[in-house]
Amino acid sequence: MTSTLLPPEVEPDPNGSDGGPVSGRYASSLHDTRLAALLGSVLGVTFTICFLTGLLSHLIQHPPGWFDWTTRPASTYRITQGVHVATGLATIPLVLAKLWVVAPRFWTWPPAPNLAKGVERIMLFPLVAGAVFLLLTGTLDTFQWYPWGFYFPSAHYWASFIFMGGLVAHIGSKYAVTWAALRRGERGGGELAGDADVADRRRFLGGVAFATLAITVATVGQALRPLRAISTLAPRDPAAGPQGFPVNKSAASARVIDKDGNTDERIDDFHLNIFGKVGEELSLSLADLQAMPQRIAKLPISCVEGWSASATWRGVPLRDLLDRAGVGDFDSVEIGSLQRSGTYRTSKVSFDQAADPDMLMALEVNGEPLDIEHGYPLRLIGPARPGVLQTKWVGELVVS
Amino acid sequence: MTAEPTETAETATAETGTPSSTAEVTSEGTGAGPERVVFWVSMAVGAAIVVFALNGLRTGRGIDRPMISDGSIVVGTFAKFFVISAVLIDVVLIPLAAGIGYLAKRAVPARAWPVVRAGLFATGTLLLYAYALVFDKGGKSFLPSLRPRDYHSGLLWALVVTWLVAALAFGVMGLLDRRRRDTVPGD
Repeated sequence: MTSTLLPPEVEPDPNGSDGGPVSGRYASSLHDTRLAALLGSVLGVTFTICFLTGLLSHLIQHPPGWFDWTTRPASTYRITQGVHVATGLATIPLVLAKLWVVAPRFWTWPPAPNLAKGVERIMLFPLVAGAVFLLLTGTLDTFQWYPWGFYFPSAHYWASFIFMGGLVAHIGSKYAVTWAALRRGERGGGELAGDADVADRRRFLGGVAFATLAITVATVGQALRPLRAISTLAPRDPAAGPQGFPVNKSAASARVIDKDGNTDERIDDFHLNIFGKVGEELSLSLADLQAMPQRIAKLPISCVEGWSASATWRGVPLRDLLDRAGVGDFDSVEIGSLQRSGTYRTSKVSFDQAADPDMLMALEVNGEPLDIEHGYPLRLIGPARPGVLQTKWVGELVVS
Repeated sequence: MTAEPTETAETATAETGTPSSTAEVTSEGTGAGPERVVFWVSMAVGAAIVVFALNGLRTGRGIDRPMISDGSIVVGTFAKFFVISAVLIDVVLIPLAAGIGYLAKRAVPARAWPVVRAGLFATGTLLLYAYALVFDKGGKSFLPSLRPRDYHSGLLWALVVTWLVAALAFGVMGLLDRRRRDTVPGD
């Protein structure tokens, strides 16, 4: 019989079977080992991508002594974090499909007929709970909805290791059956009793791919500007905001303006103070900064939430400011904001990062002086840098 | 049920021609030598990674703000959320989806079922994702560039396009099948 894209025109089995052996009350033959193996393999890839890109983001934001992040290519963080969020969202339907396919195994009795089975079962908990926890908290973070009492970055970071522990155990317990199922071609067998035929499996996988595509298209435009018009469910629009791109930390929440919109006095009487391991301490006014040679660079703002937007920046290269202060050898520069408090009130730029001519203390964006929401009068903007480290309302540089 | 020796996939296939549906074809600790070693090593390594992570949570190492501020309360909140995640998905969401699929399948012609299933799956995924956006959960009212769209109409558009594509796919697949039947002799 010729293989068809749609099922042949037959009456549906009143017992609900898709054809092939049934497994007790689980009438669908799609509870099938090969399907589980295929979906599991894809999930292994997607979660590994998410783990590695997430780990990189963590290291960039909280660098241990041995880690110094590059500034080139300039869009590196934009790509890695965009991939992190897009892959995470695309994984949602894959996880749902996998859990449905293996559902009969969840309800087997007894759950632990021997020690090995018992240990395997226990290690399924960090795998499944970890996967769902990561996808749930990551997605809600992109909405900035935090209906829980813990600190999201810490919880998400360590939960990723909990999940990876479960994944290592799962690969160790399933690698043989997975390899056998993938090698067997289209024949059935294995742990699950379902035995779907080739066409049924492919239709099912086509449906999973369709759902993955749906959620991806609906959201990816927050990172890929050409798709912003069709990404109707993206929590951000890369073109929406003052001066043509979004704001994450508002001036009001940073308390550089009060509730009536009046700017902090330190902005009205702005000076950039440079001190620490310097030849000469400086206190530069806005006019002083504007009088220095300016550089223009097109750089993205890349948020940890996955959205990104490019803009054209104009300002003084950080290295020129350090030269003016007579800075010789140094480890890092701490960029301090005028905002009163906050985890990211300061950021650090290493010696190598500061040497990049596009590491700017920006005064203008897209041809205009910075809007207060984008860090007026001065902000840091550098290549390949997470948005939280592109410090706004900069008031001091501390060299060490 | 007593512990019994398990077969490898190759053994089962070689002996019976097709793998037995009752044979435990697994890599578990009761299997052949190398697989048994891999099983137990991976369990140990996996457990060690989990312990490492739990210790990291407790001490807040590697992050500016430790998650544990006053001990039990925050730990309990994390643990509760972690457990609820697993319970919600396995005990509520998956059975619910299976039930909806079961009912829908009976209402749809068999020929159309794969496409309808794909449409339902995409719909469920989008609804699950968009819940917070549509019901305006969280967010920051003082940040207009967060959630700048009309998500009610955004969800509607996403669902309309999903089902249009599904219907188109059904039409195209039917057409291709008909052509295939017409061109393959003796079918």
